[in-house]
Amino acid sequence: MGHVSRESERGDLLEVRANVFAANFLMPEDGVRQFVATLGKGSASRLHAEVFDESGVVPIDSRTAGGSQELQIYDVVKFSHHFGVSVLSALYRLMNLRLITEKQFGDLKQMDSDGMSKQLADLLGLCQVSEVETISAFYRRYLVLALEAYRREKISRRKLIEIASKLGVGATEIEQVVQSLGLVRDEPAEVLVPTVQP
Amino acid sequence: MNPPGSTSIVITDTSILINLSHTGHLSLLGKVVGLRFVVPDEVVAEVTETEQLRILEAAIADGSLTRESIASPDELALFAELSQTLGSGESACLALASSRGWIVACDEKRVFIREARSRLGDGRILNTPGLYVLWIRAGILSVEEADAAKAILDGNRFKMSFSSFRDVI
Repeated sequence: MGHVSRESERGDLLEVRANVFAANFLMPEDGVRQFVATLGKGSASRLHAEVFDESGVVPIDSRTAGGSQELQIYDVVKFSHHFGVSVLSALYRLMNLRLITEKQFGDLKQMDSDGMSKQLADLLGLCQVSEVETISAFYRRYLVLALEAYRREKISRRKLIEIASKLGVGATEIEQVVQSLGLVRDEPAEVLVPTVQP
Repeated sequence: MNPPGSTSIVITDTSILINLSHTGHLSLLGKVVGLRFVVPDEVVAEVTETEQLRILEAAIADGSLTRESIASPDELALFAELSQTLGSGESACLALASSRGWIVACDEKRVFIREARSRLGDGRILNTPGLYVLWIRAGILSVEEADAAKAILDGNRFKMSFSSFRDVI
């Protein structure tokens, strides 16, 4: 989603990857485009179609009204409510999918910062999802995925601990979860001695 | 087998350091003739518990362990590749062991041990039970002392597949 963590951490590669992962997970591209289409937005300004009839092919060109396809702050508020993400997360996703330009992103972000999206959400009777709630939802999902990856032996125990730590969960805590859920049953250790020993 | 007088380098993962800090035997690493133990920076960073860190720093200070760093683009690339599924310390250990022909010491199972076996083969892996076997064979510890350590590790959820070191030396 481009923004599930603090902006100051966006330079961190792992954070960026986690954000991209979360964006795809919470706001899948097909779903985003379908939703934007239901708003009557997101089409190209020039459309070309070819209609077939008995006499042949009839090319049809049309042009949408100037600015009619541009997403407005109220569209983004509806979008964020639909996908259960913050307005800021929604804006990053829309920009990454090129449904809004960088300029529009900046303008809409400013409106959100000015409290306009909250006002609109109240007006539209939509409960706006806060950034904190988005982060919590993302963390829960990510942690569950990490536990599942560990159970399926896709990641090591230390990797699980590392991921949990990024999500603010301590090593002891996550190990207790693994134990109590009975996720893995490690075989007792055999003796491993290198054959190159002196 | 190594030629007489030569030394093999063993790169040591966090799991080993934690187990040996429980049993108080970390300083014995420097006493195995023919093996020199090193620890990557990433492993040192993973030891965060105060007492374990103090023991680790003491082992580095007395020369039982030497710090090592990833030092080439190839090692870094391998580290990055391994980091996708392994922890930082594990990845650094395997990257260095793999590129420099070292032995890896680690108690992790499942994904790590599978990766280690595939990259290094069985002959270049050492674990905590293996260390105790080496110390007993070298006369550094008795079977009874090793079994007492085994009981401590058992209490810390590190189980071994045998009831006494007497059965495996």
